Amino acid sequence: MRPWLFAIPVLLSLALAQPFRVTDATGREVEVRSAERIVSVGGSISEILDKFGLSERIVGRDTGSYIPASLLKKPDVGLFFRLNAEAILAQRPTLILTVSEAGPPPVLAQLRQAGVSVVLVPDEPTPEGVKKKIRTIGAAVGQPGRAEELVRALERDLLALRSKTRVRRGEPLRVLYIYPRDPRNTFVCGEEASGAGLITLAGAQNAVKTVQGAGAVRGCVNLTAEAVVAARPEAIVVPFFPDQPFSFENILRLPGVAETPAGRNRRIVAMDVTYISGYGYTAGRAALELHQALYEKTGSVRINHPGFNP
Amino acid sequence: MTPDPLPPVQRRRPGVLLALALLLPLSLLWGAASGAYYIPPLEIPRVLREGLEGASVLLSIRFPRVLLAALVGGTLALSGAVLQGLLRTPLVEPGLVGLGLGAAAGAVLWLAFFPLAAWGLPLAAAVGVLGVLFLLLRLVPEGSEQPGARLLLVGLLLSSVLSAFIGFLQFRVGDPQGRSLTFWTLGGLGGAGWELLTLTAPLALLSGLLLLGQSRALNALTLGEEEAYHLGIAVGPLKRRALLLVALGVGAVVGAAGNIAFVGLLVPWLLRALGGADHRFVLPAAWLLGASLTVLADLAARTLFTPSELPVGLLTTLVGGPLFLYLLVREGWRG
Repeated sequence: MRPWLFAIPVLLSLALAQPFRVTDATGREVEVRSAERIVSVGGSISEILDKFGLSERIVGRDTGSYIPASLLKKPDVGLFFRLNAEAILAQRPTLILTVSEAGPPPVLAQLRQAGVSVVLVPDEPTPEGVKKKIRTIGAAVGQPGRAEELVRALERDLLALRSKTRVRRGEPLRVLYIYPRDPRNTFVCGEEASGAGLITLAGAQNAVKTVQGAGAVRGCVNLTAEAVVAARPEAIVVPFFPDQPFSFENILRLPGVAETPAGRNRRIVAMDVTYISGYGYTAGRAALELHQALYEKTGSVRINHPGFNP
Repeated sequence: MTPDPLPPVQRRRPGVLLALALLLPLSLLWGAASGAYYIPPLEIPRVLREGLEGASVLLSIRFPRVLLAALVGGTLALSGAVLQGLLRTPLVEPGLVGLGLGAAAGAVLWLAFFPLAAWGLPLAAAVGVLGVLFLLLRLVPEGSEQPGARLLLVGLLLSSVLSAFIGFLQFRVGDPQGRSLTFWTLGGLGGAGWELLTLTAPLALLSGLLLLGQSRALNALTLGEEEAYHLGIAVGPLKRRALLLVALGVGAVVGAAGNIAFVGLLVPWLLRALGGADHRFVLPAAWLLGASLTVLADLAARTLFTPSELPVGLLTTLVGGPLFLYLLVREGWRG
């Protein structure tokens, strides 16, 4: 046993104790005094923390964080847009990492007032956005080196994807992104919605470029049956939730779907919701798998998240 | 010499008031002692004194929330009692005859034009209440038969139109505080903080105190407008003043916590059953009981299904609605 080995835990704890400064999605400069106890709000953030090897530090998670499966044993602090301040503070966090749409805003303000560092992680649904997300989380937990490794791995995945999309000839496939909200309405998302962004990344085109009309929520809207048919989708992409039953039949029964080319040929790709819309470090792989499902397969395809095996 | 024996109902009043005055601090303490963030109730004084972990939860989240619940409930119950006296029917209350949603509509409209000027929200909500009051009194003129039932019917129709209007506005208007249609229609105290409390308290308390001062005049009014006039009460100005005060109070609390129904209906009814209809008793007692019940309802709303919370109006309606139906049937549609 060499004496200098004892210095390692000491140095490590010193390294952990120093405050990190990070600029979050709102441009706010946040000081993170300790990243010992983290509440992670957003499936992609939890995934990235796990990839950093920090899943033991997660003391609370939102309902949508289920990867890795060990997170399911941790206290659930609610849905990301309906957070409850007391339930989060009950886990005595020192750092709260959330997706930028988390809320409601008064609750975030309460958490800041309670003296916890709250970092809203930027999450634009683009490859650049993913890199920014990884680097912000890395800065907040003091792991910039690991963040760069993850960014490099993501770039390799994106390169593999590009080698496929470059050689493909012909008009890109027209794809309709449906978010299954209720059985009576076809809730469709335009290009700027997070899940639908992966469609363009995978080398297909969104059948409804932008969602027009009142009542659009985050780039999605209830489309009338006729508008669904008018969009002429050749394939349909839907997210599914691992904890809820999913059936292709229910998608085909949504208003307007059966009358489209996609509906007639049952061309539906169902993809794990975190995998398709989380834009975590797996975004490159997800886009590659989606590309293969759309261009190299036929009929209905189900894509599970590689990291989720309950 | 023994004094004249009072009727038994009146003899009960001091006791009821005393019990209610004790119930409020107890509810406040219970509400302050429990929540999703567990702190052993007996440890709370020590946690606060020594500024331990959890002190900030208590100070910046739970205490203002409990106080806001009391303020909202007290104001709603008192406003309900005053409205019932003014319109001489036990069937009206702010949440049920569209006043609450009028306030919400006013608030949402204000947000549409001035999303960042929070200070104007309670006033805009009060204007919304006044608008609905004006409509109600227009559509149900003095001296119509069964004014209570008519007010209820018209009020309920107005409510559904208003909630659709709010929903439509929210289609077009973003809210920086993320308030949803559910918040406006079913209420919620999740956004409570000192800021919201200081925004709400002055108007709500002012309206409450001034309304308490109207209890004698309201008593005279229950005898009928004619008699009140002979007793030297200026009926028209009294009505206008009281309705304006109700609008300010209801506007302030609905702007802060949405539309929490049935508190203003059942509390005065219960008190009249306990101690008679004298407003000098009913008004202060209604404030105390409304405040206590709302604190307890909110406590249930935020602890039954930790970590998520229910809209508090869901609970008051679930309990209050059936009770109200029972009353309607039993009282044989009087009013």
